Amino acid sequence: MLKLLLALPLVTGSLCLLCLFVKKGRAAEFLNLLSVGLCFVISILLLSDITRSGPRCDFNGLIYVDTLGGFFLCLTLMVSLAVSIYSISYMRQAVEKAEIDKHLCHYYLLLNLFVFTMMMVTTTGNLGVIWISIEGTTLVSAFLVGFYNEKNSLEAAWKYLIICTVGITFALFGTVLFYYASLHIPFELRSTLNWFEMTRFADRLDPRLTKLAFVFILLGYGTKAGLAPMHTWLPDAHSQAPTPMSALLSGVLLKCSFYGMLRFYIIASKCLGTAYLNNLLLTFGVISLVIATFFILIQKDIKRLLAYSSLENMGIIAAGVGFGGLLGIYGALFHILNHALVKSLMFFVSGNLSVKYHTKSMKDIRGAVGIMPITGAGLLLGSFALAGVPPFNMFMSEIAILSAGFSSGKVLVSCIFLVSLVIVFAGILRHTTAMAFNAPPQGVERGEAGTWAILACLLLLGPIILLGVCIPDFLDNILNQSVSIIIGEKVSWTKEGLTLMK
Amino acid sequence: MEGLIKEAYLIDKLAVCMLGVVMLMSLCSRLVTLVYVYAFQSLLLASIAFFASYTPHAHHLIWMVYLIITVKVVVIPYVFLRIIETLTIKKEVEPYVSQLASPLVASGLVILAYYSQQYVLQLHEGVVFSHCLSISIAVILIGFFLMITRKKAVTQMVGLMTMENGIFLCAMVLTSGMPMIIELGVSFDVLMGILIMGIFVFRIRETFASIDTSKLNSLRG
Repeated sequence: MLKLLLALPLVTGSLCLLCLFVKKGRAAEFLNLLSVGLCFVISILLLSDITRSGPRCDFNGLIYVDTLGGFFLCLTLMVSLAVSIYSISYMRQAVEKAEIDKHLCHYYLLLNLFVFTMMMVTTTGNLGVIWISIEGTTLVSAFLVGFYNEKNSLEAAWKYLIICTVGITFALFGTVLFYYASLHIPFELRSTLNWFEMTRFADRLDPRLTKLAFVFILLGYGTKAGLAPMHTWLPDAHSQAPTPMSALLSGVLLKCSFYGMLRFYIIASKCLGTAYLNNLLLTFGVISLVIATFFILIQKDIKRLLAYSSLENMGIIAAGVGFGGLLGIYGALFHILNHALVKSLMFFVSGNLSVKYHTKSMKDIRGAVGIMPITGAGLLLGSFALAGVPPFNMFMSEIAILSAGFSSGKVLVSCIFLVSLVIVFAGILRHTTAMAFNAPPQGVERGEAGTWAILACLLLLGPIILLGVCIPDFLDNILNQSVSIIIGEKVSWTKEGLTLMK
Repeated sequence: MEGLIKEAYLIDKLAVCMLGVVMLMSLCSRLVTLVYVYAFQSLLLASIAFFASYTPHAHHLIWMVYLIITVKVVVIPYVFLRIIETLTIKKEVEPYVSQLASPLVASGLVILAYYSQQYVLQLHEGVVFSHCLSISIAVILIGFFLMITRKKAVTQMVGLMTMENGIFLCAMVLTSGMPMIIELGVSFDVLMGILIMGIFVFRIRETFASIDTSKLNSLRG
């Protein structure tokens, strides 16, 4: 099942290449949707199987999926599915308006390769292969960022390519140092880079080298995960890529890189204890949060606003792991899911709006609710969720992380965290309510975006509202198992605690 | 054991040579020279891999010798030279930091690397290849320095490749090579990375009529 899952995007990619030769863009759309949908179903089945019967291992650990990996795998495919649905509407109109000089098949080919590299990140058990796949995501998605081939998008793509490649080079050095730290252990035991085997002898690693290695890992994967101050590529890439790609970059690519870092975190925490690692993560997390807060307030471009909000949310997630403890990590994982859902929705909505109003500048987008009722409603609900208004899902995860912060005794940091959240709340809602209401500009006709675009938005809205009201048992089970993989002891029923708090 | 010490001695000497060559890169003012120096540096890396393959558990490193010679000594410099030739780039390197100050900064970075190893990490006791960790850290730092202080896209790529060489040095000598599949995958990624960057250099040249990356500055805030 796992091999089929990994083969599907590759097969679809090559079929898209075939479509390119016979110039059948519509066929590529259909194939892509079918394949991603199938992958999503398979990944759900796989995950439910893993939660019951334990991790899957194949090819000597090159392929290894446990609940944590499966969680990220499902997340990736869920967002990819939504993106595939949305792409049908969005890319068709882009082709009609002749914004792109290339054929649709190029786009779907790259999309499939991109999804494949992200799936590789989450389904491998080898730290080296994780590095290779994350570098692969950069290489493939650079083309997608520069897809429009204009001055701005080329600039963004070049920055993205160079900054992320340098960052990831540091991560490679970190990986080598991790391997070096295990050098004094007998060769028969250590001749591997599989993390599930490395966790076994993690307490025998050389602590000084492990410290150094983790700093490089954090710098490297942190660059790709969009943590400040290495985030400078992020707003450019996210604002210049085609909108469905922005959703994919922001919704899952950042998390895939964060996942790579989490694997090292698990090994290093067995060797060093959590204090040192948590302080590092917390520092980067809070810096990201504070920097993003300022930029959110002064943004003029809707996609850049969302990009900085991604920076803010990655900060929240890093801080959640940094606060540590059961609730902090549970909150961070839950926030990863919530952010993926909400941010994809927001990018879709912003795509609909910018197509309608022919601009990405927020001061020219007015009266969205009147002009496009469903998109407008999506804009309002999505931004409420993004700002962390109480009944929505992101409020739940933010409150979990915040309470982990206060109970871990780091009061000052938690206060900074809280204040930033409040400012972001105000900043986002100020921007989005102005876009949703007010009188629309002259010459914009009433009318919704394409059917597929609306469908994608509605599909995302469902879980966003649902997760704010309750956390289903299976999700709680998955999250609990993932948390116990990270902290190394068994936990269950965290959601009871969350509900009590509410 | 006698033989091993001889090889360790050779490897240390070669690594020092490699550091010297990398320092030389900070002096280069012509692009073509820079590429040749890079190729020579990769050749030194290959010879280090050759001697390292005689250490225990490292026989697979002999494949790395072939890999490095094909990818880093032949293909990548060839790609660089082709880019320089087709785009008829003005031959100068155009640094942000002057040609005089660059070697000074590079020397400072070497001292920093040695300092961090001896006093911060205190790893020197009982480690055979004691020079190599400092040298690879120094090479990575100098590569990084070259990257961020040069305006031309091609020079930035050479800096990046130098960083990668530093990491390869560390991986081969200190850890007697990572598992082969990883080395293969990494080399593949590096090669693809260079090709893709090459494609973007062409596109940038078409759109901006220049490959001076300091002109890529319209996206702010």
